Amino acid sequence: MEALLANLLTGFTVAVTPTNLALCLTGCLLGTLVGVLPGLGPTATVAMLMPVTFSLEPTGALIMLAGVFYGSQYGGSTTAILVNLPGESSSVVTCLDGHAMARQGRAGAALAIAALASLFAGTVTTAAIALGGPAIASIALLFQSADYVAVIVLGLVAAIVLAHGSVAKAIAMIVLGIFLGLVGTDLTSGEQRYTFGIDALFDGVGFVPVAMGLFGLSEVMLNLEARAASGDLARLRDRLWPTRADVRQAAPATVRGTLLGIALGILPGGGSTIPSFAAYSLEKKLARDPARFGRGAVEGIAAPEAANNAGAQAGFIPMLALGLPPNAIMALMVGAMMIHGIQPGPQIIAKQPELFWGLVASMWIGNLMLVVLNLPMIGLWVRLIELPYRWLFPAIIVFCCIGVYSLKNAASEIVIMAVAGLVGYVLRKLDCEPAPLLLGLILGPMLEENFRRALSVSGGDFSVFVTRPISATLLAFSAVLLAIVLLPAVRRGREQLRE
Amino acid sequence: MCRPHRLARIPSRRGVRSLDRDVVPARGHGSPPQAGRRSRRAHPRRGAAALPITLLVLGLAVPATSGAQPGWPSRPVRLVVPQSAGGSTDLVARPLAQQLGTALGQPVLVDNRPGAGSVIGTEIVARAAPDGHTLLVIAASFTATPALHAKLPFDSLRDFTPVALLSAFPNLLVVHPSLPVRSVQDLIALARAKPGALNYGTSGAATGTHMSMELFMHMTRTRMTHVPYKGGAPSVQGLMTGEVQVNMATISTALPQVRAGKLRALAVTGAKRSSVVPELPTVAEAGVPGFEYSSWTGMLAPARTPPAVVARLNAESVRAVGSPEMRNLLAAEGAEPVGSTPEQFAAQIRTELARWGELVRAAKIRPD
Repeated sequence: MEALLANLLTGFTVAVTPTNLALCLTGCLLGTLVGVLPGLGPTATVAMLMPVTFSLEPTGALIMLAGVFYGSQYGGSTTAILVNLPGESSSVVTCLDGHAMARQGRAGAALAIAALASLFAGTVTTAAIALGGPAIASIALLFQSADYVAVIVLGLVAAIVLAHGSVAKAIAMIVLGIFLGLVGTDLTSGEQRYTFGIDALFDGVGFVPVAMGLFGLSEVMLNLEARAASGDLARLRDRLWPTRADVRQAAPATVRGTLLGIALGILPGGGSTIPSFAAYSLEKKLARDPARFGRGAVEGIAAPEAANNAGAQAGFIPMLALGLPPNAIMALMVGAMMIHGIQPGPQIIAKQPELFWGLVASMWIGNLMLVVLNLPMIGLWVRLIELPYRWLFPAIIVFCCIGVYSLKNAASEIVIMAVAGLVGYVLRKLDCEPAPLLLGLILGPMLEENFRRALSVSGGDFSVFVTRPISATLLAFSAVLLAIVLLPAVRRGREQLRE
Repeated sequence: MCRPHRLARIPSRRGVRSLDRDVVPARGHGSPPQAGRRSRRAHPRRGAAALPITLLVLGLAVPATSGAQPGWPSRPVRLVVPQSAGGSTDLVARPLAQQLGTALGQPVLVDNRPGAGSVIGTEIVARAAPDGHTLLVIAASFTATPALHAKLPFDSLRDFTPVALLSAFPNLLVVHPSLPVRSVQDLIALARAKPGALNYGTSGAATGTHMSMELFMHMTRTRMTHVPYKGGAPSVQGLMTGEVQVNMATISTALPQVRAGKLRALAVTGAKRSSVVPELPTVAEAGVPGFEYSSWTGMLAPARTPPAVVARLNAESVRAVGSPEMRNLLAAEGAEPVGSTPEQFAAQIRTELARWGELVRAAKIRPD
């Protein structure tokens, strides 16, 4: 304990120097900005900032780059809530209830809940990194491909729970998402699948253009249709801040979302998107009245926002403690360290205590800064939806195009987004939810990759999925969950039990 | 060389072609100096706003030194990286672009064109005007791709002018510590005793790590099972969980794990020992004479780029990779700045193209 306090003191001493505070603020501001701008993601931003950091001292450089990453988690929820446009892929689920609240005139409350849930998650995750970074990181080393398969299956089952309305439609959407995920180069053999010789499809259908099309563009179309005559968006009706009842509902959801975010964030490929989906479906499962979800449930904002922030920061755990980046942005952080001649790896905490603890302390300071920055901004943001829609929608479309183009500097991504927008419009007319489709698109390729790898490692023996304890447990859990959803008898029984 | 000729040579990718016209600059040597990227696009409006806005947003200033050279460079130079931002090639290209920009007196802009195993970005440069304003930074897979992909939209030799080899780095042959293997000879013996039982991880099918393991198995007449991952770090993590037992991983990813006792290093894959781990033998020294594999990063220009431009680019690039900043970066990657002459680089490309072609035929690695 004393050692920890001494370490934290070291960290804060490093983090509160004027230079590092300024860098932290710069990173957070930039992060908020790229978070708000749809498509322009933290990964590209960090890559472009990299040369700027050459002249900085390594700790300061990392503090700024880290700020961009978690800052974008805050910013991403803003457009999701206000205009149903996920600024980041991790804010896709925030659209569901966040935008519903905005439509009810409670955008301010939704934004405040998102910011406060993120702050809580950031604080807890920072503490987790400080307390048990190396120990937590070693959990990632227990997971082999078969175990990932089980995690993903659980995720897909959860996606069925995620949807409101028809279970059959949810399953259809997931399957459609998985089919889309099959497009591209086969990882094992290098074969092209369903690419029809089009270069743009060689690496698969991108998640971001599809998400922006399905949510953002189709929303624009529906809005234009709905208020061809009627005028503007829902106006602000009541006060800006969440009510006491909101906070009571949001608090436990925030805690659960945070824990889930940390657990999933340390796994490779975890990042912040999957935790937000998982947290949302967990809340929906636990809720007394799941029908509220999608219609402005406070938990539906608090849990995924906490989870995506926790997931984003938990990604630092394997990167710092093991030197193994779990996602692309952490790989960039490793690159930033190497530019300064620091070799990330298991010994970095012992060898570079100022860097490690300074970064940890700065994350906490940064989260606080973000809330201080964001709360006063809420009043400004909500005015955005009072803008006449004829100004708002061209701006939305322009920003979508810029963001999507900047992903690969390829016009083909804009085409994919446009097609996804049309598909999204049709799907929503048919009452099919786009969220399960997106989850299928993310998880499908991961499922296939790990499934095939698990089998090539086991020599084609399927028993590997039930002989490994982690995998067996998670698969059993998925089976139970699926049974609950699919068997009407069980479902009825469960409802009776509750009453 | 004119475009119709190339179309005739590779008719099978006609579908790709129409798409590329959108992104490939229209040819025109006489475009006004101030026009820059924008005017060179076939569809100037589409997406042209992205870069300036991005730069504005990020407050990224491009070096504005004016060391005006007659003729070249007359406008910003585009440095195409056929990998996503943050990839290992990108990490070399960005500091290089910054230094080249200062030296040449024109901004050098990194243009990430990832996709299709580097083919998309490479093709863009193959078709760009050979005026020194469009350049390519490429990784070692450049020489392996032709052997593995039956139909490429460019010719790796004829469509490019090699400028300089920038850096070279060997990989580490590492095993899981639970494996009863202390040397390369032990590994060969174990793999021979149990053909196909050992799994080796790679950063993906047809990547450098895959090709180097194929070469190893071919030369040692052993057989192990290929288990591809999505990238180098996941493959090392797979090795650490014990899911796979062998890997030829980059020094930067594997060495920290070796130092922490989580992996066991057997040898380096290069022709000579690495200055980062001088205590480790090369694979060749350890019992596979003639084995050699090194990753590298190099710069290419379109074919028929004027020799004077190539010479200047070569000189400036060699100077840049020798700078302390880039030395540090490369050392952290376990790499060394090379800075060859254009001729040396061209010779190396020819040698490697032949070697991988031979290996793919001899080892019957299935091309796509």
